[in-house]
Amino acid sequence: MNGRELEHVLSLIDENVSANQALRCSEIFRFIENHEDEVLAQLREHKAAQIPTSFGDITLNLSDLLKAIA
Amino acid sequence: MLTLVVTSLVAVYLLGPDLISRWILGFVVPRKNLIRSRGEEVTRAVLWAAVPLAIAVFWASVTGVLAHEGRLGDLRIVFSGLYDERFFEAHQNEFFVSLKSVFWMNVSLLWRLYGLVVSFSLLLDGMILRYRWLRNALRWRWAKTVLATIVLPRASEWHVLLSDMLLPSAEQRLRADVLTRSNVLYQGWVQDKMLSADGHLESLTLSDPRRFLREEYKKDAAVTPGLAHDDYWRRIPGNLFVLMGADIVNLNLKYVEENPLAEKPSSEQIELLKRLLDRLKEPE
Repeated sequence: MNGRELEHVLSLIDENVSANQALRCSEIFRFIENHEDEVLAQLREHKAAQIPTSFGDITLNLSDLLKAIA
Repeated sequence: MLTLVVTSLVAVYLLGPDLISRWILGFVVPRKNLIRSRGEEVTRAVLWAAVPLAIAVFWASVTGVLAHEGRLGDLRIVFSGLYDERFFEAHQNEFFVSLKSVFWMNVSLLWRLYGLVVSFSLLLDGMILRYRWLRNALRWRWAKTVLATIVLPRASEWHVLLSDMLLPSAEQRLRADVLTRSNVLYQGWVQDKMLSADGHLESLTLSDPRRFLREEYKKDAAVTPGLAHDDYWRRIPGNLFVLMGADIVNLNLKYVEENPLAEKPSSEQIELLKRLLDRLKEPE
């Protein structure tokens, strides 16, 4: 690939990054909604919950949740 | 003798700058090696040396250094003496006086030439190391294309794709889905890669790896259409998972924000989180 082709790839990445983020965020909230008790139990025990998403398991810390609603 | 001198001049003026620049670029990035013919190698070296050489000649001429060290006549005497033995025997004194001038003319040109090549190569190293920052700082698409054209073709494509060079920001990480020749799909965070001397991918190291249970999923999906695939990923125990480059059929790279809730959640999502946190405060 030459520089021009690589720059084209970069611009595609720029366009898709926010879409990735939105998709992962919606997967996280869908999981919380459907498995509220399980997430709650994990947060009580570890102050963090493992959320499975198509981007892998995401560790959601209690501090992340507090920051999100602040 | 003339052949020996001309060969040495070609080496120090044309091939040397190319070698030095390759060596310096190799400090920061695995270079892309292309299989070229000798003619293509020489053409590339000539082009790579031509611009700094022209600048070095201009620099030495404008400052008067070149004229101070010697004249064109000195060059004529030296090359005539090297070419024709009879001329050398007839003008031995002039030959050695001119040889000294020609030597210092070359010295004044060469240190400028190598200084320019080393400076430009170090600048390029800096641009490679700070590529993400530089690219984000540029507003115009054409400027980004110029930057990519200068910087990226000198690095192995695998390094460009699998390092943090292309990550839009420092808060993002690179995740990969890797399909192997044995038709197994793996997923994990890209931790490291090994490249061969010619820039090809030797191995890819994933952290937090997991494997997709394709057969089980296919079997269950035949019974339950629209089955979610999330439950069919199995964690692979271990810290780092190394996949050999020769086994990789394709790669799906994802640029993922490190903070899972980096974007402000919607009002419904905030309500959900508040409900969860309220329940957390309640006694078990």
